[in-house]
Amino acid sequence: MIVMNQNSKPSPAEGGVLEAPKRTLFQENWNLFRKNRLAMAGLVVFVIFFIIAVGGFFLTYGRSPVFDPALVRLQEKLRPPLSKPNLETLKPEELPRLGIYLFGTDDLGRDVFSRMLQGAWVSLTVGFVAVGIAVIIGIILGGIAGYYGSGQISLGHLLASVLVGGGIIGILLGETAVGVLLVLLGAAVAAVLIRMGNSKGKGPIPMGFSVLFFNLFSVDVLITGLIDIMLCFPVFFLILTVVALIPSKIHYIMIVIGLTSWMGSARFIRAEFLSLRELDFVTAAKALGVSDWRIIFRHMVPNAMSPVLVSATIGIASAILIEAGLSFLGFGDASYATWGNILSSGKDFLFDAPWLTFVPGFAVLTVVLAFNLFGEGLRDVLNPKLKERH
Amino acid sequence: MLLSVENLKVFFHSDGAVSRAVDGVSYEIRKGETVCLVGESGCGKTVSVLAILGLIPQPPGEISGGKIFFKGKNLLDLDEEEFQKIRGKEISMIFQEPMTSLNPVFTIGDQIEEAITTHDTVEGAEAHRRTIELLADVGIASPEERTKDYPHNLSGGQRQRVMIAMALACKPDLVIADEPTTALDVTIQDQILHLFRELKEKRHMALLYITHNLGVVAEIADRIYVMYAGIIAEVGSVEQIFRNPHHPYTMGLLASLPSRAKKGQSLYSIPGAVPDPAYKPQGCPFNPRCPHVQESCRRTFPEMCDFEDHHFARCPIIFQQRKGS
Amino acid sequence: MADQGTDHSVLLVKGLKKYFPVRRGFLQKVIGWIKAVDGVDLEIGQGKTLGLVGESGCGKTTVGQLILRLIEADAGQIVFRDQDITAFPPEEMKPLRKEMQIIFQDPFGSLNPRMTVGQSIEEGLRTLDEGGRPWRRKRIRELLEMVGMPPNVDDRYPHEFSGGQRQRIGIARALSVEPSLIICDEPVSALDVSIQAQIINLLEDLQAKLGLSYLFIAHDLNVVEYISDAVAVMYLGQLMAYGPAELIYDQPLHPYTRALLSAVPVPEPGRSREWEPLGGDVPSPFNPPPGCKFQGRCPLVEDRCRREEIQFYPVEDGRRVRCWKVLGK
Repeated sequence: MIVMNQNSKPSPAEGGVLEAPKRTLFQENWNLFRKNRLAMAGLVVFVIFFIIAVGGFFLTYGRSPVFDPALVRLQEKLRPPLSKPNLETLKPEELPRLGIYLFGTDDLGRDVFSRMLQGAWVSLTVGFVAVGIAVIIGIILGGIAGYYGSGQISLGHLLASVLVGGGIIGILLGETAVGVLLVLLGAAVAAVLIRMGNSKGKGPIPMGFSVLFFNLFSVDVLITGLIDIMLCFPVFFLILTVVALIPSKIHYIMIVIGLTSWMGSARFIRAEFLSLRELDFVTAAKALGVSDWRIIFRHMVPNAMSPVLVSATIGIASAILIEAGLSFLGFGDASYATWGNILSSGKDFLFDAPWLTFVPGFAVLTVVLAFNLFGEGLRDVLNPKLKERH
Repeated sequence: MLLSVENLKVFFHSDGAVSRAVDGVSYEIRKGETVCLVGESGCGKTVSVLAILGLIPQPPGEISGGKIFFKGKNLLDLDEEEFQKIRGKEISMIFQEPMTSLNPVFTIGDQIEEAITTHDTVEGAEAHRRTIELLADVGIASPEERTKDYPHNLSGGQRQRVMIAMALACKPDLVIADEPTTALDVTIQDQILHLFRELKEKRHMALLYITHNLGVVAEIADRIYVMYAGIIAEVGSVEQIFRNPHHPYTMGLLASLPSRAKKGQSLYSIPGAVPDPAYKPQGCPFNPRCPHVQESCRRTFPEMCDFEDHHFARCPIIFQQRKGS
Repeated sequence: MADQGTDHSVLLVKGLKKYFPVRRGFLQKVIGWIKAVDGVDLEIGQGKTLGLVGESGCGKTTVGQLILRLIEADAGQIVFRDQDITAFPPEEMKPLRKEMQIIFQDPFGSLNPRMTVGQSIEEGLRTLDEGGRPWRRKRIRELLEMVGMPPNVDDRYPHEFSGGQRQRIGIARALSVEPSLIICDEPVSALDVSIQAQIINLLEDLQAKLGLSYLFIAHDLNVVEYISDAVAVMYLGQLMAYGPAELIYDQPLHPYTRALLSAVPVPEPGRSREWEPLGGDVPSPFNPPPGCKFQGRCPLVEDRCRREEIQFYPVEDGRRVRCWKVLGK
């Protein structure tokens, strides 16, 4: 054999020659995404909406905003779109900035264009804040279920958390003495658990205490159970009930929507974590002595984010829809103009002033559709199985 | 000549680049012969046989040239309906993954019977009888009872036997096996190779066997086609290829196999890596990794050289060396 | 061999056991055990390679993970450089993590796709608490060069590399903490023949240069023969044979070793071999029968094999064999 005497050292050239053009993962995904026309349309609408909403915030904010959504001109009520203001009855500062009522006026003579601008900002913040809350809760609960899922919850854990929780509720209700006592008792149970847990294996646990270590169920069962329970409620009615009980402030509405829509992200993160946990690069990180915290947030979360990103995009659409629905039903924050309450006030004048229904209705439709198309396009790109099809 | 592939070209289009997966490949299989296609991953061996069965997804794939003659008919001229009649009946295929090649919701009896009744109009009872016979042929113990089993009841080796039984259902003239033992354990691989040899004797069928494992090739092949980067590098009988390889790629492959004789010294290794099929080097595709490379290799695509007695290699450099000495 | 540690041994494993419970039903009742590792003794000498071979499901990967304490053993001892680390709590284990590393089979799953090559290697360097970022960057380049990669690829992502290159990067990551023992879990079985030789040579070069010890887990007997000093043959959670590589390969005693060796396809056409094809399938490790684990497929099986637990008999030449029959005991 002629080649046997050849130098056997691997040439470093192997790593150097990458004939194919260099492309990052992002570039590859972007090339795929670009081919999906509907998703691209969704992205364009999303960007335009974002710019309008942020612009809307600055233009409608403060004491004397550029466009004042709350300025009442009763003499100019129910003017159709593109109509000119009556210069004789209006004070100069009451004139619409554009010189015309672009989208008309409502029953109180307020400029619908200004109200739509403010509504865009409200919809955007509701969408992002609510979904942000949902995703954070989802990552934490889903991550715990996926990473520490096999951990057992013992009778002691349950006892300690019930005591502490009961104590805090007691303090909040004014029963300070009882509350503090319960919290202290709970802390004591926790202390016993930690001390005994550390010495576990080194000696027998004294009788009587061993009952505290009786395992009830795993962390995973607890969290998936919680998810299933939350999914049993029809979310919109749950939100309606909660919103009826608390002051109708836009911030509360965002938080409530967030607190009731985290289940999807939690499920995705849990499922991703369960499969990522088995992957070799996670094992390698453990073998290198990388801390659990770093493994979860540096190695696992970034790899688990794609399905969450998709569900978050579509979640923004449904959060906008929920907020519009709440406003339409009159549970919204009346101190802001939102697309929902413009619609709601428009329904009484459906035949006299159809633009009050059509303008916000069309806006909601476009934005929700755009988010859904964008989200689905994103899913196609991020799903490796679908990628092979292209 | 049962099958002859002539100058087959299969390209894939993606993102403006053209992957020349199979780039002018010719091979022949006679009746009752076992031919091995050997090569590393991405060399085009699987793509070339998918083209024989008309299973190249078009687009992104494209058969850009060549002819495939099976019993004198050019398969590339057939329409889908005519292809259906040949696929499974006269040519059948066995895949690498016995786990995913069987449908988990049907019993294996149902699946083999379906393979029989798709092409032969036979009664249910007759199909059942033939199913049991086939299972016995591929060495499955108590075949009568096994017909009622679902794929998950069987081990990997048994599943591969069932796959072989399905492939044999219509007594094909040519069986294509794509890495059928790669997913199996050594002792099970040994059993399956033994089964292939036995079946070949008994049924006089031709076997086109695709593998990257040179040990398996030596065990089973009559003739060998060594593929590299979408072309045939060397052709010859088992003896010729293993005893007296001519192409530098074949020589390199054989030299890089670990064995007891080489213990203590470092192994020969072919430097570099297999080129991206969309960005193949000019001239001979092996030239960046070849220890015998000369200026002409970088410019001109090498000819197939006739060394001796049906032993061909695509390397004029070695050809001149051998003839000169 | 395995039961008395010599001065040069890096790792000594005694009676290692790991049973996984199989649960079923709503209450997750334990209905049986998978005896993945059922009493394994190993010893790896300083700068030596121990090959661990066996078919799928025999527990060889679990042995590797047990040694690294990635999963907890149910019984047995793991002694690393005269320290019994079997029950070390996480804090005490942390400095030892640097001593033992692992490289994997799948070059695609072993690197984090969202981290650059440099970042992946840096994960190990971070745990060293040595020097700052400039030192780490210099070291990353050194490590890449050491495994035959151009040092300027540290800002590239794994998907830009081929299988063999990724395997090199995985090795560089393992070397980042300067270990003395590396568990190689099928490091070449997913690679093409020509790339396989490159990686084997790299492992051999690094061993010579850095004095590494390897536990080389593989199912390819030819590779194991080439690289190993000693070989352990595993079947259903137990070692069937153990000893110097030449003896195991030249004069196999255990019927399983013999069958395994004769089943390996050899790249020599027309090779005559005594046909000892092994019938049957690899049985599942779930609730194995009593007696010898190999009884179901053994050509020499007798009543005694089904009745009693077979010892791991020492042989004069330094080997150990789990078969009373071939030894005439």
